[in-house]
Amino acid sequence: MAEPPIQLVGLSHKTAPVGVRECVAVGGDRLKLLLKELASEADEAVLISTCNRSELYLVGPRRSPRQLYLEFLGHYPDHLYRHQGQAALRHLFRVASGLDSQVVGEAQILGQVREALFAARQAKTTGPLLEQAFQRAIYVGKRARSETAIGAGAVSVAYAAVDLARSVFGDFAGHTALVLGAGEMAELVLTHLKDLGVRRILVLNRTRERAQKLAERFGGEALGMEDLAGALGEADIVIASAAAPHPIVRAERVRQVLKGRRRPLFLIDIALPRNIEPAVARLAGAYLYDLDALETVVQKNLAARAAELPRVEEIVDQGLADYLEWYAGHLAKDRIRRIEAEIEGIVEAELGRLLRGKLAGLSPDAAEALRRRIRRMLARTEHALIQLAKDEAAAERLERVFLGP
Amino acid sequence: MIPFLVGFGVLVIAGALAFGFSAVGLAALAFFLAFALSAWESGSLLGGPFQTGMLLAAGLVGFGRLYAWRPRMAALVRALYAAAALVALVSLHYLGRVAAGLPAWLLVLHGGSFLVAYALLTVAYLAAVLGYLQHLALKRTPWQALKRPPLLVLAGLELPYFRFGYLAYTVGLFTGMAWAFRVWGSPISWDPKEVLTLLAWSLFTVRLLLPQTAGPGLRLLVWTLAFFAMAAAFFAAPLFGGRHPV
Repeated sequence: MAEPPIQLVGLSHKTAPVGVRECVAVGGDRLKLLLKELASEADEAVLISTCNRSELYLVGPRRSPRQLYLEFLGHYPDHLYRHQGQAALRHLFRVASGLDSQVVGEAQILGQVREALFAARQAKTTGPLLEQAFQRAIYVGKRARSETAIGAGAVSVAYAAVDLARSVFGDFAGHTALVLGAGEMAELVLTHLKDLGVRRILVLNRTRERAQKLAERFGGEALGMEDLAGALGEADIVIASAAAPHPIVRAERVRQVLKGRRRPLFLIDIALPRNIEPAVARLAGAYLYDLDALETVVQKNLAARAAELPRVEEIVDQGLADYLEWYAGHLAKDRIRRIEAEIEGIVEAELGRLLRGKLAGLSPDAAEALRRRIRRMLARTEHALIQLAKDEAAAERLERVFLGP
Repeated sequence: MIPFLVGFGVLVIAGALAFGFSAVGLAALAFFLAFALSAWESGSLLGGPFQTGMLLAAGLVGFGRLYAWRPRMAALVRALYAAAALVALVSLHYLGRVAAGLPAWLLVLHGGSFLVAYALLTVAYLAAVLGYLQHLALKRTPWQALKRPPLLVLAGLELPYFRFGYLAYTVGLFTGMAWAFRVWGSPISWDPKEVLTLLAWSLFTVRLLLPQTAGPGLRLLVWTLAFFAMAAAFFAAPLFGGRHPV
C-alpha cells in the first residue's frame, strides 16, 4: 500500500543545542504569519514549535520540505532530521506521548501538540491527512498518560521535594512553611507549596530587606536570623537555601523543637554547603532531605518511567495501525464511490428493462417495493466492498470488473 | 448455609484484593447474614465469638469502603479487607459454640462495647502499622513513600480511632467486671479470657500514656503487644475454658 504522503522536517534537543533551538522557535503572531505563508507552499502544513523542538509537518509540498524549513524557520541544515510516511507519523505519536521529550513522559508536550493543531486550523493549513494525524497523536498521548505510568512521579528536584512533603502531610492546608535564605530553587519549591495551599509562609534571611522582598511576593512574613528558634517551632515545612559556610539549623535545636509537639517537621536542604546539620535526619519526628536525596528520588522516578516505555511504544504502534486503517479507507473513498455508482447504474438499468418488459404489468407500489428490496441487498454487500477496496490489488481488480480496463 | 455465606464473603474479598473487584459490600452483607442466621438458629445474640467475629468482619469491610474512594489510602483499604477475611475465617472455628444469651443491659454495655472496641482498635492498629512503614520509607527509601498513605493522614486516623476504641474497651471491661462481681462474687479470676483482656487493657493504657518522644518503634511495639493480647483474649482464650462464657 502507498505510504501516507506526510513529510516531516525539524530539529529537536536531540540534534540541536539550545542556541539553535531558540533561533528557530516561533510562536504567537509570527507563527500565524508563517503558517499563512506556508499555505501557498503545501496542501497541508502544521508546525510544532516549543523550546525543545521545531518540527514542520507537510503534505503535498511544492518544494523540498528541507528547503522550506531552511527558508522559513532558519538556516541550520546540519541539525535537521527528516522523516516521511509511516516514520513521520510514528515520530509524531512518540512526540505526543512524551517518548521523544528531554524528560521522558513530561506532560507539557501534549498541550503543545494540541496548540499546533489549533494554530494550523486557524490558519486553514490543515487538511484531512494532518488533521487526522494530529487528532490521533493527541489521543495516543492521552492514552499513554492514562494507561501507563509514563508521566508518574516527580522528575525535577523541586517537584520531588513537594511530593515528599505530600507523603508526610497529605495536603498543605493549615500548614506553615519556613524559608531560610532566598535561593532560586527555594522560590520554586515555595511557588509549588503556595499553589497547593500552604497557609502561612515565613521568610528568614540575614538581611531583613531581602526577606521582606520575598515575603511580599508570596504574601508571607519576613523575619531576621534572631527569630530562627521561634520560627522553627511554628513551621511544618522548612526549605533551607541560605548561603552560609556552616549549618544554621543544628540537630540539638530541632530536638528541642520536636519535644513540644506531636506533628512532624519536614526539612528540605537545597543549600551548598548544607544549612541543616545531617544529624537532624536521625531524629524520629524530623524528615530531612538534601539535594542528593532529592536527586535519588528523581532518578528512581525516571527509572520507573523508563520501565513503562515498552507499553507506551505498544500504544504508539496501535495508534499508527489505526491511522493506516483510516488512511486506507480515505484512499479508497473515491474508488468506492465510483464503483458504487457503477453498480447502482447497472442495477437501475436492468431493473428499468425488467419493469418495461417482463414485469410491465407490475403496479407502481409493487415496483417500488422491488426497487427497495434490491437496494437493501446492495447495501448489505457495501461493507464487504469497502473492505475489498481498501486493498489496493483487490480494488484495482474491482475497478477493472465494474469500470472496464 | 452459614459456612457458605462466610466462604462467599471471603471469596468476594479475595476478588477485591486480587482483581480490584469493587462490589466488596457483598462480603459485608454475607457476613451480616451469617451473623443473623447464627443468632436465629441458636436463639442467642452475641452469644459467642462467631457472631461477634461476623459483625466485626462486616464492620471492617465497611470501614474499608469509607476510604476506598481515596487512591492514596489503597494500602489501608487492602489491609482492612484482608483483616476482615482473616477474622471471618478464624470465626468459623467457633460456629456452634454458643453460650446462653446475656441480659439486655450487659449485651449492650459489655458485648456491644467490646464489639465496637475491636473494630475501632483494629482500624487504629492497621493505621499505626502503615504509619510506621511510611515513617521507615520516608527515612530510608523516600521514593517508595510517594505511593503510600501520607504519614499525618494515618496519624490523624490512628489517634481518634484508638481513643474511642480504648474508651469502648474500658466500658466493656468494667461492665464485665461488675457483672462478674454480682454473679460470682469477684470481679476477676484466673480465667484466660479475663486475664488476657485485663493485660490488653493495661497495654493499651501504656500506649495511651506513652510520650511522643518514645519513638515510633517503641510505640508500635506496645501497640502490637496490646493488639495481639486483645486478639488472643477474643479468639484463643475460649479454647482453654474458664468461668467466662465463650
